[in-house]
Amino acid sequence: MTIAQLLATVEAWPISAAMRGEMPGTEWLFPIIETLHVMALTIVVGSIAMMDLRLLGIASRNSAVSRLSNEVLPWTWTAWTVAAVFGTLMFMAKAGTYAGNLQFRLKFVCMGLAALNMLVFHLGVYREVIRWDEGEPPMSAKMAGALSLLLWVGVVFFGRWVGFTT
Amino acid sequence: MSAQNTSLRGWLTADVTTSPWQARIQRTYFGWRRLSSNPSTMFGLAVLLFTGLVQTVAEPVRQFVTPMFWAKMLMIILVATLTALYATAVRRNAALWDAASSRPWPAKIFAVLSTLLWLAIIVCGRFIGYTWSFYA
Repeated sequence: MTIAQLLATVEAWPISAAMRGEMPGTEWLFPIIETLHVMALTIVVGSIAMMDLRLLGIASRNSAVSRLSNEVLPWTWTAWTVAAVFGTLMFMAKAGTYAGNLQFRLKFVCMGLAALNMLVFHLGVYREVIRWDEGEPPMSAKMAGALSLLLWVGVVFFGRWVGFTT
Repeated sequence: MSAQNTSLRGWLTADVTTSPWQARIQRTYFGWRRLSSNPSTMFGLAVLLFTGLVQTVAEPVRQFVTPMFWAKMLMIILVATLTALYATAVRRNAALWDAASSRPWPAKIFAVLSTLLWLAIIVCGRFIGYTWSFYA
């Protein structure tokens, strides 16, 4: 089965048809799911921005980095999971169209790079967070924060743009 | 004493936690209270106001015809007022708030209202785009 066939199969599922509003009473399903997706992503991006601004030394300077991280990240991951579930539902409505959409692809390039950035940060400079927990973060931590902020703005930018181009 | 422990406030501020989730939510609760007085919040709001104004100036009819827009504006004014009142109350007696083992009940009501209002603002904002054509 080719990828195109797989996407067509997904689009033929009843739940995908419902997401397109083709089932009786589902005319408002997509807008509702999209709104829930937006609610979740505000928490994802908002909580990540809190962390990034702390890494940049701009905000929350009175909070230890590790403490803020422990407070915020459970919310980030929970909200991310919710956003991913609702995002997948929206994708299923027009799987083929979205898969071929440039902005959709760029969104996931940004998210992939953000994940990579996070991985490098956690396996790198964050392992020695104890040394800079209370004070000014080292340059590599600031870079990670700035990059993360930039990439997540990109995710939102391209994500919103998908809606204008499909 | 027991009444305080069974309330949400008591649960959020209890010294002895009964589960890791309670401890986690407690840390977030106190962290959020510190962060809410952050200039980043004010910067974000300024960006929202500016970009929203640009959209309204560009397509005023699209915005003004749907009740979703007016409901959203009303709720923004309401939540901003409530937040200012809350922030003022905290600032006036910061030491007392920090030292107190529990929050007064109006603060709890404010927290619930603020969350609900912001969620409703997102719903109305998103639905401007889906409903305006019905009214135009």
